Amino acid sequence: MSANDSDIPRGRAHAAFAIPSLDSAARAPRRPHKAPTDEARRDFVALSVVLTGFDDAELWGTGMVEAYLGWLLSVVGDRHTGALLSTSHRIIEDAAGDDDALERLMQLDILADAAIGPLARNLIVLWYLGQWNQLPADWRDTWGANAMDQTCIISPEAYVQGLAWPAIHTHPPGAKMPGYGSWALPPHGVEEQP
Amino acid sequence: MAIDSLPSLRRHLKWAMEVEHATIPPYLCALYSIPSGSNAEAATLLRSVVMEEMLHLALAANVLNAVGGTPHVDHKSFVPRFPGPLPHSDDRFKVELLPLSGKAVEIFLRIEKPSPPGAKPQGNRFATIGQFYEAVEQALIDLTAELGEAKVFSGKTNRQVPPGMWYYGGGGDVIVVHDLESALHALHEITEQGEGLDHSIVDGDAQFNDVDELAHYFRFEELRQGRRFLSTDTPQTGPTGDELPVDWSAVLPMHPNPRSRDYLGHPTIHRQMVKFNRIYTRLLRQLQCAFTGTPDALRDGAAIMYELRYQAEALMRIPSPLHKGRTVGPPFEYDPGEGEP
Amino acid sequence: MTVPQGSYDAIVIGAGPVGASIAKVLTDRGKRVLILEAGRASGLTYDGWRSYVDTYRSALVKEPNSPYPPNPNAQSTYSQDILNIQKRVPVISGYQVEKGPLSFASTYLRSLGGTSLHWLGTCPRMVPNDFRMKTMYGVGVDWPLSYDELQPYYCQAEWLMGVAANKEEQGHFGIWFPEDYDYPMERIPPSYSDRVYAEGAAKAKVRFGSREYGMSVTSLAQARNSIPRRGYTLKGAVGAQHVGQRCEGNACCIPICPVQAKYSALRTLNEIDQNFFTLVTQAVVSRLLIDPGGRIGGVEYKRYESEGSSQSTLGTATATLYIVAAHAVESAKLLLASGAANSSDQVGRNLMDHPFFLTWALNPTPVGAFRGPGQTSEIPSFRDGPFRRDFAAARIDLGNWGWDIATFPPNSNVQEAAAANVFGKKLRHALSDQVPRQLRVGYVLEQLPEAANRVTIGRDFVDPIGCYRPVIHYNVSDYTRAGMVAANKISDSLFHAMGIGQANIFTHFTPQSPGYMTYRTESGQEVPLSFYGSGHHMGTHRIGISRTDSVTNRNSRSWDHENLYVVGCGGMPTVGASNPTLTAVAMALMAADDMLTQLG
Repeated sequence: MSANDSDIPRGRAHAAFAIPSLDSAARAPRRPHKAPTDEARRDFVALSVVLTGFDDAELWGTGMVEAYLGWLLSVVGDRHTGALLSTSHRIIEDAAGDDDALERLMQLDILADAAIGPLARNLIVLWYLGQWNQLPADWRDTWGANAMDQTCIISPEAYVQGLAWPAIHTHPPGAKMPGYGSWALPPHGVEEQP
Repeated sequence: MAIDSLPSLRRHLKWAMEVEHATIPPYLCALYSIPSGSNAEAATLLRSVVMEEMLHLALAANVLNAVGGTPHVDHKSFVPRFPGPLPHSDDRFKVELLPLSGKAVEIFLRIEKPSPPGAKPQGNRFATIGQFYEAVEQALIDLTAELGEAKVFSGKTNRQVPPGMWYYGGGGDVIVVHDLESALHALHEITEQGEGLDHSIVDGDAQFNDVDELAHYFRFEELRQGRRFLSTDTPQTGPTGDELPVDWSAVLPMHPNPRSRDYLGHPTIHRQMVKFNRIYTRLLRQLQCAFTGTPDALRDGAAIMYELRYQAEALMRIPSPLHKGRTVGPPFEYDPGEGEP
Repeated sequence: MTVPQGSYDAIVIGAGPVGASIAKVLTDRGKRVLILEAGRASGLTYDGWRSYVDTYRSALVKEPNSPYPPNPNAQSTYSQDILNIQKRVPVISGYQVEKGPLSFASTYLRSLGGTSLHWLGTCPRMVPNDFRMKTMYGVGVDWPLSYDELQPYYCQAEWLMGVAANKEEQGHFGIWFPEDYDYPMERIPPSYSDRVYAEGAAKAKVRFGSREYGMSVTSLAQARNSIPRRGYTLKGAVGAQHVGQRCEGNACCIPICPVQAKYSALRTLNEIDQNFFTLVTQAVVSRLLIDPGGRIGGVEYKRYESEGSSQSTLGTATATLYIVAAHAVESAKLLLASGAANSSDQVGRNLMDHPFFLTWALNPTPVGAFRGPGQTSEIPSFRDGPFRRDFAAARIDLGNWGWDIATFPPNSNVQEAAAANVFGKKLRHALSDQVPRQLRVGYVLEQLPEAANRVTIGRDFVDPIGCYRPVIHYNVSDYTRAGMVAANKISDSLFHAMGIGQANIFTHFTPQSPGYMTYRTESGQEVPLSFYGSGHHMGTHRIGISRTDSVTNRNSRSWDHENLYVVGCGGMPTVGASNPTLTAVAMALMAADDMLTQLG
């Protein structure tokens, strides 16, 4: 049971509809030809910092940077990944440390963009829940559907490292157990016992 | 140096706690360098050793409390530096914080090395932990003979960590110390789990599985040789059982002996290291509380230990900007600062 | 593999807590027992268990059966198949066929260990009046036994399963314990949020009829590892005993405790003396064979080699006694398929669940949602009382997992935020501000036995190996609906006493809510309601005083076949508001005594 129960059959139905219209080459995962460059990795982390609100050390600490960048490259390919990363690189430079400016640029140049906006939204969900959402129908119609582009938790570890859990000051259910009796302690943000 | 008075005995038992504690950070580094899903057997082995070292710390605290001493673990001086000698040892080797590796296992073997037959008790600058404990045991026996049991074991009973409550999931259990017999029992438990019982490979416990029955030294020998001991094996035969597969490459490559000040120029990483140090120090504070009259503090101590683990694992995964191809790792430094760095 | 032939004293059908407990008692006394289990045995190794954990972690829909891979030859129902039945009846997509008018909404698991692999572990005893509903309140039926008679078996069951509780906190409404008795482990520490609830509950008052009711919060008896009391040896994970020696707060009891600190039948199965015990898995019993004299003469089973193939071989096995302990639904199905034990026409009837009604709110300060076992305390105040003439009793569970199944945080929050282009620190702060303050109260509501709520079978619905799929007919009567209306009133009073204003109470039901229905009050108002299943399938082969209105006698022995026992939650004539596993195991231990007498 999850909030998006009802999305699952819809997503699958859409995939079944979309895939037959494409040739087999387009259906194969778009594997990157080479490992991501250090620069791509840096840009990916910088973008992820802005999207998640967690700093670079916290993101690296999840151990998921390579996996998520690799996933993005595999599902949407070099071209879209490159467009997203170069745009984010530019707006981070343009904002020059001004958070309001960065927020504005992020909204205008990335999230409002039909090609890279959906990717950024998906990265938020990926970092927070370990879940990849199938890209919206119009994105798939325009840019092509990929067999890997299915709504799923991309790996057991991706679930475990979801940022939603530290964001709410706890651990993912079924992982990173906090120890006997820990639930009796006052929660984060509460000093005194009631 | 002979241990010839109660104050001296208490001082040496404090040292015992320092020694037991000093083994924990290096063992934890090796354990936490193993990412989940790989080297499962090695991880189980290391975990079993760490669990018992924590037990040893509690046992040493019980003996110290029983003889009227006061544990003092929440203090900068209690925390060893790495690399550095085992506290109060003869400084023949340096203990280091390393990921699981051949070098780490060699150090572990030196830490747990059994005393050679007939080795002299050594109350200070000891060659082996066994010799150190032998000196402490001798002192307990001598002082009891000299002063009488009541005078030696004058500590408050409410300071004893009780069995069956807060220690679980590892070999052995806590022993309440109130006289010479129980004190010697507690110290034997420490040395037998460490170096083995009377020059055999086993420690005399039989609780969960074979791994808990082997003395630490021989568990590490299994790691080094990549093979299990059979119950019929001896120190001379070495392990002749099943293979113990260790994939030395499936380990997070933490840079040796991490120090937080090295990362002052990398504030986000530094912050994570400080966060780790504060959890670690909070754990020491909790233990201090537990060993000085509030044993129930160990309940929340367990929660802090888990926090420590997850923060260590995160640091193990952060690539070090200072050492290419290596990750940052947990520094295990004393930091009494409060709250989020 | 074929079933080893030999002379068995008993064949137990189903390796859940009930079947395993009986097998344990019989083998302890040197009786030879064969267990036939429909599901797979993957959970018996620790590596197998870890693979379940990984399956859970990567499951998109983390519903109760999600860790346990689908098995076409011994199917289970997955929640997504049966929620939102309002839209279309019957539902035939899942394993269990839902004929309505309401969805039964509960699932169970067919695997070695049964549904105890994903149960929550809550172990309340039933209160004495639960056993005499007809006499006390003029509703339901009376049991053929009293609390006092079942009491010794409750004690045994609590030690067998390893229940953690403090007895001085469990004496609700006449529940008593022998003086020299205590639970095998200390209570699980109550959560921080329990303390927040307790402060409010102490001040809360609610009026029903002419009476005003107060509330109190007490710790909950739970089958999960805590600090052992004298004489009890802690049992950790099967195949990794050092793991799971305490509940370590995975906050994942349902669907899976990663460390097995929570009791499952695997633990009991693992403790059975192998000299007297044969376990055969992947063996689906399809029929009981009845001798001309009326005794059961054998069982017919279909053994499949793998989930991947519907190839199965038919076999038979014989023993002195036959014990059907396959789950309330599966046991009823098997009796119906065999034409056995049904002279009363009660087999499959009186199906009950504890409809689970939720209310939810935001506390002014964090309560630490998503920490600890699913629940650590309850409000027992409405488990009994004169109101039971009019509406259902409820055990009130104080959830530790935020709004969980009511809205699925934090997933829903993240998805909504991302869709609305909320990102970065704003997103992080929004989550951090809201989710840790979430409170969710669950009402485990009593349901009365009704003949029309039932399990049936039919040739239209069979599984790949030719066994019947259960067909479920289910409704919730006004007695229980009125209990939900009362629950909402209790909830408002509780939340208000906790200092939570109406604006921070988020309970609401729409026709899209799972188990949506309405209740017409005396004044003619239609109140919208919604419920979830508790996974408590009960009543389908009830014990009774007379062979005309029950399937078995008080010892769970069939009135029609003297060497047949039908044991489990299906035996409960009424269900109070107590989660049934403990009571079912106690009844099983009582039945086992009778079996030992019969076997001599």
